[in-house]
Order: sequence, then C-alpha cells, then structure tokens
Amino acid sequence: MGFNRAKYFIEEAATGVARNSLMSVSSALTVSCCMLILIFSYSLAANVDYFLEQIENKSGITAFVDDALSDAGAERLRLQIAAEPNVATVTLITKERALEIMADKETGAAKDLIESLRDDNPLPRSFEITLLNGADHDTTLAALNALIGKGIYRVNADSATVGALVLFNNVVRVVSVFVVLLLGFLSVVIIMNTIKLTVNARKTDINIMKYVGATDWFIKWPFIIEGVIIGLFGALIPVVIFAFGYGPLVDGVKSALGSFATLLKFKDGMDIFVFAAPVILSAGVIVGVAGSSFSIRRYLRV
Amino acid sequence: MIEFVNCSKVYEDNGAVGFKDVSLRIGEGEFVFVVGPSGSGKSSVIRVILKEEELTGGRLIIDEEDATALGRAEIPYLRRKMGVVFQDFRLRQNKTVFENVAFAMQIVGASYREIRRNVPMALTMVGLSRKSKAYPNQLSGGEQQRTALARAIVNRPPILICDEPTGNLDPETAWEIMSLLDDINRRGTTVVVATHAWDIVDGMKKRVIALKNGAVVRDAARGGYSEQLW
Repeated sequence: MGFNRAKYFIEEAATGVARNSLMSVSSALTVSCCMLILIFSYSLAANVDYFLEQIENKSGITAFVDDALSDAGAERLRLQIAAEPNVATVTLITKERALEIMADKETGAAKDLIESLRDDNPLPRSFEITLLNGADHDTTLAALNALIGKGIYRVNADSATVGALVLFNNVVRVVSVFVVLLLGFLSVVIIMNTIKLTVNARKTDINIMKYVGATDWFIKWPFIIEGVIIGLFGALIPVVIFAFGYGPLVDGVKSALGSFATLLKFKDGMDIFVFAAPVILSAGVIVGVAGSSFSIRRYLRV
Repeated sequence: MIEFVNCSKVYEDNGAVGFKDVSLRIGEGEFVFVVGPSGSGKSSVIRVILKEEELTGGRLIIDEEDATALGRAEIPYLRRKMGVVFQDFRLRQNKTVFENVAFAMQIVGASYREIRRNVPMALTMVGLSRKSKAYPNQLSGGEQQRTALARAIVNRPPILICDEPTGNLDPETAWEIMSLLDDINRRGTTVVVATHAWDIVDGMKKRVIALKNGAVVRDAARGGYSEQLW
C-alpha cells in the first residue's frame, strides 16, 4: 500500500469517526465496559486458579511407614514415591518430628502427656506428599495404595476436598470462557452498529466509488480503520484502568478479608498485565475489524 | 471496442425483458447515441456495459476482453477503462470539485504529483479551473455535470459512457455538455450516450442505435432521433 493511499484511508477513517463523534465515543466506551469486565473476569479467574493451586498443594497425601521397615528402606521408598509422575515433594516425618507436631497443637496437661511419650514414641513415621496437579490426585493415590504391604501400611488423603476444589476450579474456568465469548460477541455487535451508521451515511459515496472503479478493499479500508480506532480506543481505557486499579483493588479485598487474607497469596498484577494487556488490545482490534467488515459487506454488491 | 454478441438480459426478480438477442458493435473512437422510449432497453444496455447487471445470454466484449467471463474482483479493473457520467451527477457532497476529480485518480493509485498535474488539466478542459475549491452544493447543475465529466476523463479512459447526461440540465447547458463530449470524442475516446434528448441527437448527426421493446430497430451511421426516421 502506497503512502498516498494509506494517508487517504486514514484521513477517510478519521473523518468517519469525527462525523459520528458522539456515536463513536459511546461505542468506544461501551466496548471499554465489555473489555473492563473481561480483564477483571480474567484476573478473578487467574486468582481463583492461583488460590486453588495453593490449597491443592497444601492438602497433600500422608502415607504411613511400616515400623518394621529400616531407615534405609524408608529412604528407598521415599525415592520411589518421588519418582511418581504427579508427585511434587515427598518429606519424611520421623517419629520424633511427628510427636513434636502433635505436641505443638496441644497445651497444658495434654501437651505434657504427649511429651511424656518421648521415650516410648507410639507414632509411626510418615511421608507428607504434595502434588503437581490436584486433578491427577486419584491416580497418585492409587499408586500409593499399591504400596500397602510393601513398606506402607496406610494412606490418608482428603479426596473429597481435592475433588471439590478441582471441580470448582473447572467451573470458574468454563464460566470465564463463557463471559469472554459473550462480551466479545457484544463488542462486535456494538461496533457493527456504529460502522453501519457511518456506512449508511456514505451509501452514495460507496456507490460512486464502485462506478469509478474502486476495488472492494479500497472501499473497505477506511471503514476497517475506523472500526480499529474505536476498538483500540475502547480497549485502551480498561487496560489503563487495570494497570492503576488492580493493586488498590487487591489491597481493598485483603483488608476486607482481614486475617483470613494472610492464608492465601494474590496473583501479582504485573503477571496478569503482561498477558492480559496485549490480549485485550488485540481483542479491541479484532472486534473493530470484525464489526466493520460485517457491516459493510452488504453495501459492496453494486 | 464494445461488442454485443446475441446478448439478452432478463431480470430474474420480475421476469422483465431488458433486451433480447441484441448484436451490435461499437468501434474505437466512435460517438454513438443509444435512443428509445422508456422501457426500450437502453438503460439495461448501459447497466450491462458497466457490469452493474449480468447478461442472461450471449457474450459482451469490451476493449478486446470478454466482460461476460469476468469475476467480481475483476469488475473494478474493467470499470477503470470507462469513464461514467450520470444524469444525477453523483458527486461526493463533502468533497471539493478538485477532490471529486482527484478521487478517481486516487482509486487507480496515482501519485500525488500526477494528481496535481492531471486534475487541473481535466478541470481546464471542462471549463471549471476557477471552481476547483467549490463544493457541489455551490455549483449549478451544468457545473456539477462538468465536474462529473472531468472525473470521468481524468484517467484518460478509452471509453466514456453517459447515461442521460443532459437530463437535469437546461437546453443551453445541455448543448455545452454535448459540445464537451464531442471534443472528448475528437481526441480519440469512444463515447456512448443513452438519451431522450431528441433535439441533441438530431442536431449532432452521429451514429444512432434505436431500441424498442428490447430489440435494436435501427442502427444509422448519421441518424436522428425522431420516430419517422426509424
């Protein structure tokens, strides 16, 4: 595309935006609202995912070691478990450490009673196992159950909780995708309506262009650029709002949650921004191109 | 230059016959009037030449190219071989005279320099050099048609198609426009004019193709419009 043509297309697009300035601004703002919901839906989904990951990692599996197994045998078993595909960490809890943990949870006479067992410790050794992916919890559990009688005498796991968390996470993901698709569709429809107004106002011009020998693309470009201007402007506003608003929002949520907030870490704003900003800006461009292309198609058949 | 070979046009939506089994040839550099009463088929002939409508039968050759076989994407390039002038001028109202004419050159990708050189030449040729900054609503009907004419010839197309070019003009202005068309024809451009203006057709003594009920009823090398001459 030559410089003259590009200049002509941009001038025509700018004229189109300026001629319907009120409609263009209101369209861009409506797109902004959609994109704002989109970017915050995404950050909500990303945080929920992050929380669940933390919870899943904390709610691991405990495998109790047979007393008859030697320390060297227990170490071999630890390595064998660590080699399982979904296992993140395997920590051996010695009999002494188990007693300490139990004593720390109690106070007064109960604590004294537990500590009095130090010379005749009845607690077993165990492995605390954390997983890479909560969704594969059952597979790992089955692998550990297979070790019962081979150095392990019992395996404890809160399968129901992990299952519920994984299900909740999947529901959040599906809802997020649905919200993204719905808002994307709405944005396209909004831009289509704005461009339709411009196209309608320039029906005669388009007709003249066709008779003078303009190609469809020559006619389309200014409208597409107009759609891109509206879409990009509409997407830029929520990106800026997110850049400056996410931090204070997280702080607000943390203070509302009080001490409960210390249990979980929130996603870093920059982590979300580096992914979401280019996606939102690209989405603005895409809905702009799609909206204008759909609205002009009908008028090109001359 | 333009050749109809057993051409027919039947409108699919209402079954109306535009023209049927028409064969005619318009040579390079000719000046041709296409005349006939309303519904005779002359508008259909013009629309088919401009590829606004597709033939339902026969073959149309324009500038040695089979226009019947052209795909949608190739139509703009065929139209660039033809300048077009309409009865209602069809000017872009928010553009100046200069911009309206320059627009035809922008479409074919002309450089800024070419536009600066050729547009004033075309405006001078139609006698509008002093009105280049005016908008269409500041011009008389004759001046608007001159602008449309300048736009039609600025890319120097080999063919000029005029559909009732004097229909909205007073007789004096109409003759001025026809005189310009005659000048353009003398410079080698093939000119095809569909018109009802019998006085102009009679006065100019050019080739006349008369249509009636969708058929060519007369093709005279130096004809007139009136019924008794048919």
